[in-house]
Amino acid sequence: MTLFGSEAQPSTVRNISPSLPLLGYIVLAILVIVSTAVAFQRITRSIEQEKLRELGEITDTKVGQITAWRNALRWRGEALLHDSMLATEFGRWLEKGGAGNGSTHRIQELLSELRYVGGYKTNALLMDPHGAVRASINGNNTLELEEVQHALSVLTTRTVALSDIHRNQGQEHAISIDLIVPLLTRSHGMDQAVGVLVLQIDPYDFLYPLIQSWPMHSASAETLLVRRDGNEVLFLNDLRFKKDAALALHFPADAPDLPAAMALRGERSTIRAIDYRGVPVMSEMREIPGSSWFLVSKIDHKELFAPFEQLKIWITATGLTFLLFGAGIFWFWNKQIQTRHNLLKAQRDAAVEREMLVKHFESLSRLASDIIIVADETGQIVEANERAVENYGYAREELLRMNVSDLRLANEDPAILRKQIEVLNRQGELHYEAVDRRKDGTIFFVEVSARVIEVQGVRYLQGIVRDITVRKRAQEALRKSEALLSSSQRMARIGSWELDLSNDRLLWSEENYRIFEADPARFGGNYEAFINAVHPEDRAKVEEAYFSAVKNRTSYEIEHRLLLPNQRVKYLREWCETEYDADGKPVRSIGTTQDVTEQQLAKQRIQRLNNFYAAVSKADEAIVRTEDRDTLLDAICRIAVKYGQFKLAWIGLADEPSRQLRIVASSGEAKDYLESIQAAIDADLPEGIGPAYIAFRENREIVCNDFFSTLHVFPWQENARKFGLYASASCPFTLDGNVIGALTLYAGEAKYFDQELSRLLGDLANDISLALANFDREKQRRQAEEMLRKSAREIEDLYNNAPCGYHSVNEYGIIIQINDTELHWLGYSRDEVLGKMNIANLYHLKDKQKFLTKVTQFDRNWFVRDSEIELIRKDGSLLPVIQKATAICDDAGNFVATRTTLYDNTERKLVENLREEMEQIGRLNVAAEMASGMAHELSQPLTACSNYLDGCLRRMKEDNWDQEQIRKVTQLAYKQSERAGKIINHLKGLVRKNDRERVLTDVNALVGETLLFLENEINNQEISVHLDLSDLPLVMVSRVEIGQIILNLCKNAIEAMRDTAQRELRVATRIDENGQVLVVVTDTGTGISAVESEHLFSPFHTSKQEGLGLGLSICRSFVEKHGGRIWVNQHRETGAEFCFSLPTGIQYEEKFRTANSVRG
Amino acid sequence: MKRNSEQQTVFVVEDDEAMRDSIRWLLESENIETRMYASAGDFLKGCDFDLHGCLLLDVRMPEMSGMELLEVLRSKGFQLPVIMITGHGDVPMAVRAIKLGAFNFIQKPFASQELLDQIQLAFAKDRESRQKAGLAEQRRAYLASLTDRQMQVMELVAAGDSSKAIAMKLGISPKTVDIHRATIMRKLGVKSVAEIVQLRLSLH
Repeated sequence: MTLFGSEAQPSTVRNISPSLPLLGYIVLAILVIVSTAVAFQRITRSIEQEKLRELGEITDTKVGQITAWRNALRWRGEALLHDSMLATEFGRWLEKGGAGNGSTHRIQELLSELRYVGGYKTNALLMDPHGAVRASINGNNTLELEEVQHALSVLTTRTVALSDIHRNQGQEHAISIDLIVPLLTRSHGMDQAVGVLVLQIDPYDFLYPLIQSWPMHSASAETLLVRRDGNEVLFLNDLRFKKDAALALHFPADAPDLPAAMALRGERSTIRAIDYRGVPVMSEMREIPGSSWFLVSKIDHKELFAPFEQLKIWITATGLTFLLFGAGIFWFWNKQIQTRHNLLKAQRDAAVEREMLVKHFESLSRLASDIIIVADETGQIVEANERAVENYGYAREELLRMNVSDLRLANEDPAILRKQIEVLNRQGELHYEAVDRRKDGTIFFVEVSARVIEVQGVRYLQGIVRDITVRKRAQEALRKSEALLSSSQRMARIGSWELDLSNDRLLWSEENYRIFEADPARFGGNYEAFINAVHPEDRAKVEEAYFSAVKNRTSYEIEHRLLLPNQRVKYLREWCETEYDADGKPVRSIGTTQDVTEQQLAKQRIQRLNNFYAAVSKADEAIVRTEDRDTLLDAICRIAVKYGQFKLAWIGLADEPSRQLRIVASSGEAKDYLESIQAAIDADLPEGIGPAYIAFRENREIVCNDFFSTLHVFPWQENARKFGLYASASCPFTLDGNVIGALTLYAGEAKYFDQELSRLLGDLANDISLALANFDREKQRRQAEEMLRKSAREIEDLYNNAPCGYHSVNEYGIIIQINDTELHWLGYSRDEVLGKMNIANLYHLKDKQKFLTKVTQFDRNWFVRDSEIELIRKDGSLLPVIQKATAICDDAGNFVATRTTLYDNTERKLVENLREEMEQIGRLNVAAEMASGMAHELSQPLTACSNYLDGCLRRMKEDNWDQEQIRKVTQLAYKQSERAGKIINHLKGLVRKNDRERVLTDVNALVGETLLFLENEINNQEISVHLDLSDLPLVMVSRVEIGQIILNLCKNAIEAMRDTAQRELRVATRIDENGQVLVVVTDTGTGISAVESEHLFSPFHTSKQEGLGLGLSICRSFVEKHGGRIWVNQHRETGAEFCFSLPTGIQYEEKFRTANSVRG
Repeated sequence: MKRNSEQQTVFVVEDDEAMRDSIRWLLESENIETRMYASAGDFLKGCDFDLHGCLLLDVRMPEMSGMELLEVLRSKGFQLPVIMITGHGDVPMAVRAIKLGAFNFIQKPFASQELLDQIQLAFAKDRESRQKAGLAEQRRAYLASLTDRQMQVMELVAAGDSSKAIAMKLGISPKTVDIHRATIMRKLGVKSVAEIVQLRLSLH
């Protein structure tokens, strides 16, 4: 095939048919021709129309002129008709017998006057009534017979007549028109014809020039005057192209194309006609009124279209030139294509021929070098070539007697050959290998190409046999050596490869395939296939190393990884050398591949262990150094990442309420991964199956060496891949035998954690446990110390700041200990008193004696109980106290000191005061409500006041302020401030501390007043308020306290409705069945659950975020103080209903007293 | 316009007589024109929607509250800035007022200077919105003076087309477009294409 390599592909020769462009061209040409013809026709028609119109106009004009001329002649005749002078003279002359010179002369004179009738040259003749010409101007008295008859007819008609154009004989102009005028004389009232005057008018004088003239220059235009003459048409005037035609030229009246004949037939115009010359003309014909004449105007076509013809010729010529030119181009182009096609075809034919030749020659040469044996269909040899003789060792004659089977190995199964021959016969050709035998018994391997050939209708088997012994042997040797190499490579785990750089063929040894774990059948066998097998992260490195080695002619040596399925990694060491050709071009690289995974893994393992050891040792250092748990856990995570080379380390501690491992410390580049994990210790959650959880829950190490094949980590696989985490190990740590947390480490490679590492991790967790236990102990110790310190401080604080005075005196009465409260009471400083002052000096005189008598009796059982005494303050004032004292004795029972307690008598009701304060809080709430309600009221006068005064100030800046006006306004301002003062006083009255006196009160009014305080909230929340107030008796209550109950209940109701759609507050009062006043506050809010309602009135129970939980408890205390009851109704579906009852009148008083007496 | 802007008035709707009186006293000291109404009803009766200045409205009033009046006025297209006077602690009310389009609110008790400042701000706002309205009207009038063709050209210019592109679209020569463009600029009284675009935007 290389022979044809440079040839064009024969199949691409394609003949381009010329018919389509030719057809297009013809169509185009036809279009051009047709459109041109149409255009020509249009132009022709328009010219014709134009000329015809012009011709018609000229003709009409001429007809008019001729008619006018004839009429003029007639009028002239009319004038002569009645010219009695000529008639009279002629009559007289005739009567005289036509003689007498005088008369004759007279006649002649009269006639001569008619020489130019109307300016036309005329011959006048006088004829008597008998038809004899009696006189004439030119003396020629002859008349044609016709004329005479015509003239005589006039005598009877007595009108002027105009004759036709006719020929006169013997006259100067042989043609004339006669104006015939009868001469009449009038006698006795009768006209009498005396003769006829014939005026022979020469048409050459006027008529002919008129006819022949043409208003513009024309080479062929002319006008003819014709009339019918029997079956002929007679031309009346001389013609432009035919002299002496007047009255001489005849044509048949039915001549079809003659314009003159057409005129007789009444046609008025014709475009196509043939005139008397036989020339095509265009013509207009008109009848001249009052005559038998027809006027024909005509013009030659030739003249008409002369300019147009020229144009036509030019256009046609140009068009033809273009068409010819186009045709020429087309012809040339087609010829080019044909030439090229022929050329290509010739090339292709030549190529095919050449190929056949080459095949032929190749087969010939093959024939020549191989054994050729021809056998018949049974295998009997009929022909063998020289090579056969040489190879088999038989003579040719011997061979021709043999069967093919005789050449085969003696012990071969004859069926094989039979089968081969059968197949050959069936298929026509067959290739097989066999072992043949020479005459000397040696055998040799052959390759046979057999085919069936037909020679003159007989089928033969032709076998071309090639001795392939050498090849076979070589193949065998190669196979053996390859097997050897392969097994040796396998043993050494070294693969070899060869990369042919010229055609990018990569050959791998078997071992190489094993190392790469590649299927030889599917391996691409080129460089790209190799590089694709390399670990993606190492590809760039390998390519760079290989190509730089090739370029720099150094040997290529590299270690790289393979990424095998399931993230398995293999480590390879490759080495190669490259051969170069003479030009220095790299030809082939031959190299080896060694699997060094085990060494690598061992190395890695040692590295990992080293790292981990370093981490453990650093962690231990941290444990020793660190005193705080969180810092330690943090440090351990950091150390694990820094020294242990982990991608991520985190420590979770159990968080009991949420049942989760809370991440308390973490470190590492993949820290963000933690956001996705929740190592819950609740197995119900999907997160609960995480390795850290299992480690925590089961108190054992969990190693997860391959994230992507472990079910535990399924929920986080996606994320782990993103952060490059492939393996993890979790290890729990304990405190007092309980698992409290877990340490989890993540590695960037699968199978990272081996047994040794796990053991070390366990050690690390153990260390952490120990450290935590240590911390815990330390913490407990510190807490105990702290508590001790705190209680000491508290005791001291209690001693010093207790609401009572403490002191101790020794046996001499000297104060040896005293608390701050007492010092404060007395106004002394500690230094002034301690160890210096005798207690006796503090007693009031009246008490001093009492004390002195007692103090002398100090003994073991000494005590003073509740003695009310008065002490003297530093400033001299008295302090009433209640004193209690006991003796402090040593072990031997000797008195050491007193322990004295003093109570401030003025604050004796401390316990009651506490309760009072609680109520006070409630009252302040009311005050706050009222304050807010009043704010609007108060702001009004304050703002007005401020506006007034500021207005004044602004005016007073001007010079000419109006004093009177300012004074008035200041007064107004003053009034407003008074108004504000009143409001404040009112407010004060409401919140006065001791305003708890019970007065007769209308509860309904109280409800109304209280709601006023809540107006703001009610408006803001758009709450509809319904009051359902019955008539009530007055009750004896504290207005403030009962007001506050109502306020509290309403306020709660309003707050409960903050988020509900329906907001309705209902307050009802009535007398209940026990005769008590009942107040019911109902809302449509969120309601109260049964559980809630149990604690509803306990102090510090609240459902509000900002509430103190005091409101309802205060309400209860207030209600109960009044002997009433407060409760909540639960039966309502929506909202809550609070009720309280107050006893009225005597009942109440009784109850109150009973309650008090019980308490007292 | 000018005469009105000089005559901006504070309309006060306030039920408390002292407040009303004192506000008038204060505002008159600053030569501010005032008009007083004792209730929302009074104001609605006497109110003319072509007012200038601002409206000072007390939220808490008997019968119709300030908030209700504000709603009524907004629904009627009342344009003046409204300053609400709220009581102490009525923040939710104030928020509602602002949502309803009140210009601002002022809490009682307030310093008189604060009131005066708010009024000046409201006056400025009123002037500005009136100017805007006037300008828009003027521009609308300018636009109306354009021929249809000029309008087409202006739309395309505003859309950012080049003279050539406009010429192509309208089937006229770029030179004609340039002439139209110049005429448009002269008629609209603008100096740049940017101003044309702005003008177009301001009217749609």
